Amino acid sequence: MITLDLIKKNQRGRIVNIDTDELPLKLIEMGCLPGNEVHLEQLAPMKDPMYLVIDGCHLAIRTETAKNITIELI
Amino acid sequence: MMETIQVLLVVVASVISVRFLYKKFFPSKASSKDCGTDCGCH
Amino acid sequence: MSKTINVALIGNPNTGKTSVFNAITGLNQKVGNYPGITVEKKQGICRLDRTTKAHIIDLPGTYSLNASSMDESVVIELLLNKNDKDYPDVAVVVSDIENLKRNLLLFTQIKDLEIPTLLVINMSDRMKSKGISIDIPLLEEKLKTRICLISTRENKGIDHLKSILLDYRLLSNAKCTNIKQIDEAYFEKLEKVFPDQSLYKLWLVITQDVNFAKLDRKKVEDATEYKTQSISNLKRLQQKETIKRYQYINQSLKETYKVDQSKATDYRSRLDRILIHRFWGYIIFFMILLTIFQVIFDWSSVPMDFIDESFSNLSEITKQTLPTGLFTNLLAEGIISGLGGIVIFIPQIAFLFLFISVLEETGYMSRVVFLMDRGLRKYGLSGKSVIPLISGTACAIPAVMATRNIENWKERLITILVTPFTTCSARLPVYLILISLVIPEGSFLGMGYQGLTLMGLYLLGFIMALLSAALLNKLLKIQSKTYFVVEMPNYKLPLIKNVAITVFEKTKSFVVEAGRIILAISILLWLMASFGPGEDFNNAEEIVTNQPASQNYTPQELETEIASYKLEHSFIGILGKSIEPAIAPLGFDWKIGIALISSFAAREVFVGTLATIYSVGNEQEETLKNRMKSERRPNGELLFNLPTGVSLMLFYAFALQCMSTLAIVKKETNSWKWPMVQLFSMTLIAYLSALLVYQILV
Repeated sequence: MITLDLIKKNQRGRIVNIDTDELPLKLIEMGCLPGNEVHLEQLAPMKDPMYLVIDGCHLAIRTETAKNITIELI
Repeated sequence: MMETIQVLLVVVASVISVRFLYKKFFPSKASSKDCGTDCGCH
Repeated sequence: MSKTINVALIGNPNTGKTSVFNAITGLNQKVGNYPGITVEKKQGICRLDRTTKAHIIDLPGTYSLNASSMDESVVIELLLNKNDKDYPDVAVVVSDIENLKRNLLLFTQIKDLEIPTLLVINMSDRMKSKGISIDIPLLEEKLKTRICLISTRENKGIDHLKSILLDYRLLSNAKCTNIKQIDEAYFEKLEKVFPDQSLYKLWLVITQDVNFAKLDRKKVEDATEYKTQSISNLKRLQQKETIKRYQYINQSLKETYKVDQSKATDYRSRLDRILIHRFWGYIIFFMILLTIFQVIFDWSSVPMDFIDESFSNLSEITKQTLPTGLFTNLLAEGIISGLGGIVIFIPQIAFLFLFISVLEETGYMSRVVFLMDRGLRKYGLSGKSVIPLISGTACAIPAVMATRNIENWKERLITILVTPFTTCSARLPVYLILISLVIPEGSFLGMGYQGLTLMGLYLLGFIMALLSAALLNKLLKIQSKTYFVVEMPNYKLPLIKNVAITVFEKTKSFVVEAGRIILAISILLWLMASFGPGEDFNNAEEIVTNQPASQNYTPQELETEIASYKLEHSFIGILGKSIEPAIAPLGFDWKIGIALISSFAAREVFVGTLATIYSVGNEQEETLKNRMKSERRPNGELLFNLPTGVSLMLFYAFALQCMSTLAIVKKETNSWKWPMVQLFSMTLIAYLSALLVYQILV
C-alpha cells in the first residue's frame, strides 16, 4: 500500500482509503472513492501536478492532495 | 430659430451624458445581496 | 392560447451544455447578469409547437449540487426556490457520452429534488469511435426518466428533445435515492421537525454554505438547531451520500452502458503526450501565443485603416451637409470622432475573443492550466490563474470573474490583484496608435518590429503580474487550504456556431458597454474644449490677430493659431495645463494630460479623447494618426517621438485606468480595501517606470 503521489507511470492501483477531512468534496464527487481504479496518465515537470485517471475520469490534482489517498497496486 | 434648436440639442446631449456617466459610476444603491460566507471572503 | 414553459439546462462543465443551448435557441438568446451578482445569466426562447414556447435558461456548469463557488450556488438557489419566476417546469440534465457515470451524479441529485427531469446525452457522434453502446430504453427505465441522445455537432436529436419537452407532463419526478439511508436516526429526527419538507432539500440547506436569500431564512435558522453534526461529520455523511449515489448509478449502468475498448480509438493520450510534454508543451504554448499576437496585428490593419478613413470622411460630410451651428459641431467633432475611436478596434477585439474561445472550446486551456501550475505556484498563483491571465488579454472584468474557480482564497486574491496588469483589449488601441507612430516598420526574422513591440508589451504585462504576485505572496498573511482539482476534458474540434456566437456576443457587449461610456465622455470633452472662462477664450480671435507675429500668417495659419489658442484657454485646456507640471517629466504635454484624465474611466477613451481634442476647431478633416504625427512641442520638436511614445506605453501598461475593474474587484473581494491598494500601487508603478524610461531615452 502506498499513497497516490508515489504511483508511477504504467502502474495501476485501487483506492483503499481516503482522508475525508483533507480532500475536497469535489474530488470525491468526481469518483475518488475507495474501491475505484486509478492510474497515472502524465506528470508535469517537477512531478507536480499529476494527471490521473480515476474511475474513468480524467483529472489533475497536486501531489499534496494525492498524499491523502492510499492505494494498493494491482 | 435654427441656432436655438442646435443649442437646445447640445444641452440635451450633455445632460444625458452626465446623467449616464453618473449612474454608471455611482450606482444609486449598492448591491444588497452580498455573497455568502464562502465566496469573496473565501 | 400560447403558453410558455420554463426549462433549465443543467450539467457538468465541458459537456457541451452551451452547444445544446445554442442548438435549440439559435440566436434567440440574451445574456445578462443575475441580480446583484455578476454571474452570467443566459436565457433563450425556443418554439416547441404552434402554441407552446419554451423559456430556456442555461445555468452555470456545475459538478454537483454541493456548491463550492458563486456560480454553482446560482444553480442550487434557483432549484430550491419554487417562487422564483425562472423556477423550472422541467430540468434538462446535459451529460456527455464518455463521462456518463460522473455526469449522472448531478442527475440523481436533481431527480431527488422531485423536479420533472430528462436526460440529454450529448456527443453521441463519438459513440462509434469510443466503442460505446447504450441500451436507451432499459436505462430510461432504471433512471426513471426519458433520455434524449443528441449530437450538436451533427445536429441530431434536437427535434426529439423538443418533442419530449412538449410532453413534459409525462416525465416522472420520482426520486433516485433516499437520503434517509445515509443516517436513519439523524434524518428521522429532522423529519419530525419538518414533516412537510423534502428531506433532501433540508439536507442541502444544512450542508450548503451558500446564501439562500430567497428561501425562507427562518426555516434555515430553525434547522441549525438540528445541525448537531460537526463539519467533519457532515462531510463524512456527504461522502456516504456520494457513495450511495454511485452505487445506484453503477447499478443502472451495469447492463445498459458498455465500452468495447478494442474498438476505441484514443487520440487524447497521443495529443496529450505532445501538448503537455515537459519541453515541447511549453514551446507549443509559446508559439500559439506568438501566432495570436502576430495575427491580431496583421489581419486587422486593413479593416482598421478603412474604418479610420470612413470616420474622418463621415465627419467631413456631416459638417458640409448639415446646417452650421453648435450641434453640428458637436456631431462632427465630438460624437463622430469619439465613436470612431471605438469602432476602429472591433476587428482586433473580435480576433482576440475568437482565439480565446477556440482555445477554451478545444479543451487546450485545461492543458495550459496543468502545464503552468507548478511554475505559477512559486509566485503564489495557481495553474488556474492562467485562465484569468489569458482572458485578461480581452478584458479584466470577465477575467476577475473567472478567478472564481480557484479554490484557494489566497491564490484567488493574488490572481485578482495582478490580473489588471495583463494587456487588456482596451490598452490595445493606445498601443497600436503609439506603436504605429514611434516604432519603425522594418522586420526581424519575419516578425515586424511593430508586431514584436506589441508582443513585448504583452510579455511585460505578464512579467509584471508575476513579479507583483510574488511580492504579494510574501506580504499577504493568509492561511487557507489548497485545493486544486482540474478536469482534463477530451479534445474536440470547436463548433463554428459556438465560437461565432461567443465572438459576436462578447464583441457586441464590449462595443456597447465601452461605446456608451466613450460617447458620453466625448460629448463632455467637446463641451469643455469648446467653451472657456474669461477674456483669453472669448477674445481669442482678437488677441491672436493683434500679436505682432501674426502679421506674417496666411489666413489659413491664422485660423489654426486661433483654434489652438482657444483650446489652450478652454476649460479642458486649463485642466490639462494644471496637471502638466506633474506629467512633464514623463514627456507628456497638457493635451496628453487631458487624455490621461479622461481615460481613467476606461483606457480606450485615450484615443477618442485625442481625436476629439485635435479635431475641435480644425477645418481639414485628417486621420487621427496624421494629426498626431504632425503634433509638435513649443520648441518645434515632434511630440510623439520615441521617448514620449515608450513612456506613454509604459504608463498605460501599468496604470489601473479602469473604473469598471475597480468596481468588479470591490464586488468580488467584498471590500474597497483591495481595489484601492490596486489603484495606488499600480499608478505609482506606472508613474515611476514612465519617468525612468523617459529620462533615460530623452
